[in-house]
Amino acid sequence: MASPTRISRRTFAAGSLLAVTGFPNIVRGQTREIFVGGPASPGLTDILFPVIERKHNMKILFEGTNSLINLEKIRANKARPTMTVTMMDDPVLVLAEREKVIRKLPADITNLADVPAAAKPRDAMWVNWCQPMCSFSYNSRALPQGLASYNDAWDRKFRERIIMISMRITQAVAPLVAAASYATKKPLDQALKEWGAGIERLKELRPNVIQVSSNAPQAQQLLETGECDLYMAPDSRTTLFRKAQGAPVDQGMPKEGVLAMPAGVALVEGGPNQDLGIAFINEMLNPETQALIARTFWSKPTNAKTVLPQGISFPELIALDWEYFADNRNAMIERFEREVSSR
Amino acid sequence: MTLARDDLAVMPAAAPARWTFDAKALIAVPGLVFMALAFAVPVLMLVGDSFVDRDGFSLAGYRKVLGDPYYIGIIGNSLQLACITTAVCLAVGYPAAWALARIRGAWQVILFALIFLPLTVSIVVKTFGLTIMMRRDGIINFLLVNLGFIERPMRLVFTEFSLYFGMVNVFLPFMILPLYSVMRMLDPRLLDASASLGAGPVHTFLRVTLPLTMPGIIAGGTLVFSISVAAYVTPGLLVGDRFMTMSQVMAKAYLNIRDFQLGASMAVIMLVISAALILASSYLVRTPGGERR
Repeated sequence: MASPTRISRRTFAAGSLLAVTGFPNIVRGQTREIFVGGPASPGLTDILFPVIERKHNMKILFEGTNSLINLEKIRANKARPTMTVTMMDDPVLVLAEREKVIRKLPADITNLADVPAAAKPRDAMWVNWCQPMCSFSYNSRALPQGLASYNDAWDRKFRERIIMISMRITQAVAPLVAAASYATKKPLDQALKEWGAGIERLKELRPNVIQVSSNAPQAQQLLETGECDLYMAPDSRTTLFRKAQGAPVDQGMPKEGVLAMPAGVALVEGGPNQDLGIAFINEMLNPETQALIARTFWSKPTNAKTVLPQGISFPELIALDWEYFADNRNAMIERFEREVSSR
Repeated sequence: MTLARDDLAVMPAAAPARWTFDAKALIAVPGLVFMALAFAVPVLMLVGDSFVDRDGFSLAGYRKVLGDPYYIGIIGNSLQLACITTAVCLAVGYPAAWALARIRGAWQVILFALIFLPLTVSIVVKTFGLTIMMRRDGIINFLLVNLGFIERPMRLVFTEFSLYFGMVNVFLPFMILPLYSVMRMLDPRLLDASASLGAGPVHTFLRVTLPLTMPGIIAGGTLVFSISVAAYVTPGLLVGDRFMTMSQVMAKAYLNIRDFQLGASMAVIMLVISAALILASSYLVRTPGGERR
């Protein structure tokens, strides 16, 4: 008869220690998961990511915040990056590239070949996964016809009926460029460098502005409830998403044109599970996923092979010089807050 | 007046400070270690950052803040916000604390719940709730219109009224709690004695009640002022960028324009304001004889 196996207290303690400290690492090592930092746009975690997770058997851990805060988090963890992929606006990606916290996209992202060069800036340091439309949004009950021109916002009938987004948010470039365009008679795509004249013109808009807000969800809610008529300027990711859900809002299509917001995605330098990050970005650019992006985020796809879902179309969008914007953003924020926002 | 002075011992007088070791002080060690790690070290780093720019030692951050009328105005906004919030909290909180200290039984429980349960709700939720209340189709406009005070809904959202309303809503319990703790220790016989000596209610309040509850007023005022001068979420949500505060400048400096020296300098100035207030209040709660109440 075999004697029962005896486990000494020392063996038991060593085994317990291994189980407690080692097991989670073993499990974590086997988990196909990536940490993605990006915008807090509706549709990402509830529609787009589950599709990618199922298709590539990966778990996406997502943190939604604005691009500059996202960059600050990556900078803070530069020595030991935790994020694999970052989704930010181009002006912030310009800064990320300068600080060497993102890496050039590799050729393994095969769908890059079908994206035009303008949508993969700096020789594919990052790629635009879509181009949301940015102009202004309006309450469609108060303004069933919308506005024909950005300049209509200066009309006295909108006194205390406009909420502007803070210049700290990239989308605030839309009213600034529109104002600069009016002041200098230059088309929108050439007006950004005249932003000083735009500030002067925006000062004339102050009587119509009830608030300059950096809280986009609150501003959106006030637009939908009729507290204001115009919101300058969220992009189509928010406005048309909410319109599709039945909110009385719509995207302005002014005669001067609509700006393309650059929604970029990049690999974080030294981030964990780079292979999954590459698969993630490649999937974002897949023509089928791009079609899903078009109807979920109401944004123009960047893969030229994408077939747009029926009923969805986009106007020709106006691209801005985002590097110039990145270089001058702090000065724009300072002047905007002193001369437009302040009491 | 003699009556009040003689009975100031409603709170035990502390023994004069002596620099001898008391083993009981060791109990405070875990708390002190935690505060050193969680508060003192980051504050020291912040102070260090305020004196350093890319080229080394520099006072540029302080020059920018204190030499620019725009930033002086923002410091003024924060002080105005803190002063008005503290004053309104005191005016509203004093009678509430008095009632809380004097009533007994179920009503005391109900009052306690009404005053302190809101503390369990997130400031963001409370402030968003206030925005909904203050919309043109909100409950406040509904009541004002239906009670005949105004003919049609008025704009309340994004006004300074909504800001102060929201600030008092958030910070009132921090005024009531210290006031209540002092008032409940106040011997009611002192008020009877004052009345029996011929003092009217106003005279009794001014010469007996008010002096005896001054430690609560100073503690509550200091607490509310200190936290409201640093308020970030409530002003940001209720009045936005039109009413910039010191905290908003710090957030902008660190998260947007990445001027860390500007953010650190503004933070140190805020710290100095709060520390000065706390030191002043510590001085004020001393009795004329130099003993702490």
